[in-house]
Amino acid sequence: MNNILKILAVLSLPLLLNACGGGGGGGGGVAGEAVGGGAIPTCSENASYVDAEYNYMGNAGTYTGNNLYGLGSVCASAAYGRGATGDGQLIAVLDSGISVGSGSTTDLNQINSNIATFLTGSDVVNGDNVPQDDDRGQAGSVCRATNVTCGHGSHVAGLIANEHNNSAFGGHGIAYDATLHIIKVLDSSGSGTAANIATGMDLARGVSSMDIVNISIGGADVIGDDCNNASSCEAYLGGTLYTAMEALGTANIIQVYAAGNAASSSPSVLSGAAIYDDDFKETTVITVSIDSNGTLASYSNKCGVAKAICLAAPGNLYSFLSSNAQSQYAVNSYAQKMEGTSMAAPLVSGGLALVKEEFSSLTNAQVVDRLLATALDTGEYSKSTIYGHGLMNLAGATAAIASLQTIGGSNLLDDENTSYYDLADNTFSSSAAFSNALSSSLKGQTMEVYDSFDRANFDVAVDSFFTSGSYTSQNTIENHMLRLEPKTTKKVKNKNLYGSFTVETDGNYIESSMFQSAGDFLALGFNQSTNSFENAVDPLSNFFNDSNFGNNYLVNPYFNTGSGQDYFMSFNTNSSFGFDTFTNANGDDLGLAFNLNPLSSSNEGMKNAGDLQIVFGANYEQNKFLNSTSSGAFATGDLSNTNFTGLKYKKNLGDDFTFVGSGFAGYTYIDKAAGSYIDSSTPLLTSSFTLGLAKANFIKEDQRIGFFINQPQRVEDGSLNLRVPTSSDRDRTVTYSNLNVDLEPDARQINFDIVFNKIITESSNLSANLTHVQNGDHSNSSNSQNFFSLFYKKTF
Amino acid sequence: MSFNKLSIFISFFLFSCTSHLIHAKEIKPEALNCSISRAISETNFPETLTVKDKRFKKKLKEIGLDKTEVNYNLFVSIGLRGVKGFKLDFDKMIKDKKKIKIYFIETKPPQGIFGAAVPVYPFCLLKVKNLDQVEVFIN
Repeated sequence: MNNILKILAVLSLPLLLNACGGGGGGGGGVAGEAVGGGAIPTCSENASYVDAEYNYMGNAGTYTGNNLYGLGSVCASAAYGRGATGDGQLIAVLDSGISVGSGSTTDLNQINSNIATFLTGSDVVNGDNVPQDDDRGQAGSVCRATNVTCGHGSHVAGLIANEHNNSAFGGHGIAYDATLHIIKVLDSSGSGTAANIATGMDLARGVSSMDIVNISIGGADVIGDDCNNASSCEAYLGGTLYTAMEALGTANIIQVYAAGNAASSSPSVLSGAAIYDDDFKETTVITVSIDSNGTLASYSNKCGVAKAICLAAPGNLYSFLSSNAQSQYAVNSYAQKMEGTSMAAPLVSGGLALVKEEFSSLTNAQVVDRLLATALDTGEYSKSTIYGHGLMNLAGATAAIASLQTIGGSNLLDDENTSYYDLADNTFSSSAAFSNALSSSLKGQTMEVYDSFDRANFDVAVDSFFTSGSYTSQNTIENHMLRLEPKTTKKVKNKNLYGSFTVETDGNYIESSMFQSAGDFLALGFNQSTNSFENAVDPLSNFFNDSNFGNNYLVNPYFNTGSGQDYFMSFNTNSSFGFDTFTNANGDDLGLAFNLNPLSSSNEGMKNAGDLQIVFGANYEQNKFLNSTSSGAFATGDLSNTNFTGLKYKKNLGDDFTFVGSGFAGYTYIDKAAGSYIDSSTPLLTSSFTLGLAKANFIKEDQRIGFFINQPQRVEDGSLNLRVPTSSDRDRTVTYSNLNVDLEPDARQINFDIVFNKIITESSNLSANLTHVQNGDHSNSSNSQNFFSLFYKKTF
Repeated sequence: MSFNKLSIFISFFLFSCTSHLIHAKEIKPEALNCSISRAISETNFPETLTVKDKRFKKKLKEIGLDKTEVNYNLFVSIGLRGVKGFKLDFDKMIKDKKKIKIYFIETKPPQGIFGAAVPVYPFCLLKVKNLDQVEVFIN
């Protein structure tokens, strides 16, 4: 008997508990963080792209209040500022269809003509081709009771692609130029079967280049509770639907889900199943909803166990595609407010479309990753079990996440052998001989660089890497004055095993004579003028060997590397033949020039200069050409070469007049570096010349005057072909475009100089110099420069 | 308490419940409107309001039924639900000597059926007599 009573008691216990109430809700099994209490971070808007229409996507209270809640809180204007509007992006909306109007109502007119694309069979529910939104809510709903269309699908579609500049409404969708494919999978009560949703997914997958599928649909369940791994979720959702979800993932199509609105601690099973399945996890985004106060909406499910693929977006929004909106919610005859994670999801779908449009190089998985990685995740949004990655932030998603880099010539963004350079490591400092032409050619040209985070492509101006060399930049009154300062000459005699030699400082130059006999000499020098010809031009030569003002008038320009540490060796075997060699401090640049003096005159005191000197030679420049240095993706090869020739002539015309002239020309062959954007070039023909006439005893004895005309080195002919990356595709390949750059400047710089010198006494000296520079830096847009200097020196 | 005594107590409890039902009778509300609304604030929890509650009129206004000709005096809701497909139905109203017990049934979408992911707010409005005796049960 006792045993029977015991059994009865045990069996009665559940009845007892049931009769007396009990139970309790589930909730995803995630320890809760509390909503609220954290600071609400905001992203940076781009005010110039916040137009009147922009203000009208949704708010929690009134139509015009709290304007920035919708688009503003996700900083959509930043994406618009970069030119992203959703153009060319395909988004399938699996929902209750779209209002295509009937009778006098023509909602289709409210839809940008290119956004509503209806596929064959796109009304999965009714088996036809017109996915009319007949969503009236379920039986008993207010919508149905008042016999008006609730239009869930229309609302969702409108939030993505409500047209811009719509006169009736004034608002626009977040990706207002996107192309929507409307697929009706929910019936007139707003419900849909797993089979119909699966069919809709398959339809979307069948559209070529489909990018995103928006699924603002859920079930009465919670991921983590009702299933907690891939197989159990597949069993829960059914094989047909689950297979369709996997197939979208396999096709790399992004799935955007609404998390659900049961205030659960994790999303619904339909939206959250991806968290357990790598087949579509990385192309799935779950959206929870924030309210106008910035915190999780009271109804919204939290990200919970699916936080790795989850983020937040506003979910209390106006849209205007539902023509017969409920009167109680309608602002005007078109606008309607709805709230729910259903509304947050299309904002994310549109946001993804903007990111995808902006970065053609990203795969869909990378687009998702970028949106998640850039979400605002500080303050309140740092609570990952609520907001996942945080609040969608299109300002961050469309900007560089890590450092931008150039690609080193490869076509493959992800190849292990592909090299990249930080932007600062890509330089090109051009010679003034062609800088004007180069900058003109590159103006307005863009190329791609890549974010080291994910190789997202950004356009930058090609000329942002280029620095223009300038002759005229050195033309200051201070430097002009310095030209007239008399140079001092110092001599230091030394001896060694081979005899005595003299180190002589003449002005700014050192002339070292190791061996010197009657007419022959071997000279070593540091920053020495290339040979003795220039110094022999009496009386004004020192003025024009001065590099402070613009350029050296008489110096061989191909030996003037401008490095500041140049070493020369000049060797003249006799008065009719010699050669000069040149190297810089690092030994990177080399030069050799032969000097023929067929009309030599070896008068003592003239330093063996000939009246006529013919120069020919070659130089080799490492990683530069014509003194144009470059690096990174614009690097040149080890040995660019210039073959040059020149002519120098000095003629004494009577006792007082001296005529000087020099001219140089060269062909430069640019050595291409591996992977460089400087892909090829024609030989660059360059020229320079100086003509001068000096007169001693000008008007009075001990007065000298000189008149000089000079053209600094200029490219006469030649071009570069720049091969720069200009586009990239989702298969992670880069396409390069050729920029043919004509390097011949549009004008010719001519310097006119008048130099006057008067010896007043043995200890005092007066000099004057008037200079006129025309078409500075070989540019016809340069203003003329004029300089006048007086210099008086008296020694005591 | 010995196990025998416990068994007797449980048996008595069950008997008393059954006895209670036997003496009750089923009645009908004077008016009934079970419906579903959206966009209702602060509705995350089940709620029963009578016309005597200050929030009663506000609630009717929120769900758009404040201007009906029927003078409802009882509002019952299960709170927000996450998708379309949920509903609240009136089951029965039982009157005994002391109480009027009103039973409701919440229906949720079956597994394999999905709905638009908007928060729905199933509710019932009733007009009943003897409001002070009413007890609400939702299954």
